[in-house]
Amino acid sequence: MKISLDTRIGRDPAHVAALTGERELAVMSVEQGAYYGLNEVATRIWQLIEQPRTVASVCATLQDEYKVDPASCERDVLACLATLQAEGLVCFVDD
Amino acid sequence: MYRLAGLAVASEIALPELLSGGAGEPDVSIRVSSELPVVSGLEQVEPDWWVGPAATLFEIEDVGRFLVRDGRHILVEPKPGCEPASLRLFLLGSAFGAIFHQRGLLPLHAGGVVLGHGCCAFGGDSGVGKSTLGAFLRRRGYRSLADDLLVVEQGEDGPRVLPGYPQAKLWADTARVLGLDVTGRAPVDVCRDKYYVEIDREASFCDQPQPFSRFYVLAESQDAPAITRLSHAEALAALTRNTYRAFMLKPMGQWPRHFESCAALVRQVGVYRLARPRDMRQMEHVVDLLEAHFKDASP
Repeated sequence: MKISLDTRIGRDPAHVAALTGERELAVMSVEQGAYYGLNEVATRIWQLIEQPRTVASVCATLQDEYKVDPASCERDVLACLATLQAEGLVCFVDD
Repeated sequence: MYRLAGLAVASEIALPELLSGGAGEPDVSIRVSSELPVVSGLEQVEPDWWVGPAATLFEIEDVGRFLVRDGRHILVEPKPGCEPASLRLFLLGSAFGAIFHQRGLLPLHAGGVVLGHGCCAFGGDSGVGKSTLGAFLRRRGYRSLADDLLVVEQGEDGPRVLPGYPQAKLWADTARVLGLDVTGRAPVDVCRDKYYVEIDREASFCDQPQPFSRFYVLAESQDAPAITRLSHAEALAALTRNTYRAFMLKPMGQWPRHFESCAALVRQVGVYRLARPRDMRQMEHVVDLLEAHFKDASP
């Protein structure tokens, strides 16, 4: 399944996360013991999806916070989410 | 009554390793039972371990079964004819490990020595040389807080290391290099050439909590001994990997809290990698390096 703007995403529950810097999050897979260091954008996305929400809604918030144009924001967020999804850190959430 | 990690411990089994003291209501009680009660809702996490949010049950072949509950109660069902020393080994290790996790403390698989104004902890894989380094530091006049189970508590003034008990486990060859005689002693377990040595309570043991200042992860290398600082992300991974009996955290539902407390520690405590060759003749040099390192004021 490909991520689109309408996709609702949430955190994968088998992971724990904690801030290691002001804008730097560490995420660990409880099952595999794998560690991920998230960059600033990924960290912000992780914070925004504490409650599952649509990609469009994440983009709207980030556009506002980072003052970026909608097209490049959407492109960056979709790319970031694809990476997070490939590693199993986020999952699709059905309504 | 005994004391361990600041807790008053009442025990039906004599625990001569522990410091004595404490009065009034015990924080932890150890009782012997002929048959452990059945506890429901536990999840099997290892072949002989069952863990739930507030209870842990484990079985050690030829030794006994242990039930640890609510951070307060340890019930032991010894196997007929088991060695008291083996019973104590698992009581003071795994059973208290469960007590510390249940109480929300942070138990690390590490040794701790008072260096400068606080406790430096030494972690790393089993057999990497934590106890050996501790023994060499004591010989140079420093005091130990723990040999391989180090309990950290978050206090108002930052993290503190709580005192363990004055006993260490050393390989026979390490003991020999240090001039300690282990001939005629019973080994820690029958398969290993490892022995208990007492730590001098007056000269070489610290029985008061100390600020947690640094964590060194021991590693083996072919190069000259060297200390490098870990990034926050690496440090967090090191602390979680060196958590004592971390497999209990998931069925306890405590991973999120534990990960958060490790992340908080990373912001308060310098975490380093101490790589050195596995060569006893280099140990004095490693101790020199550590002395120079902790005297360096920057955290």
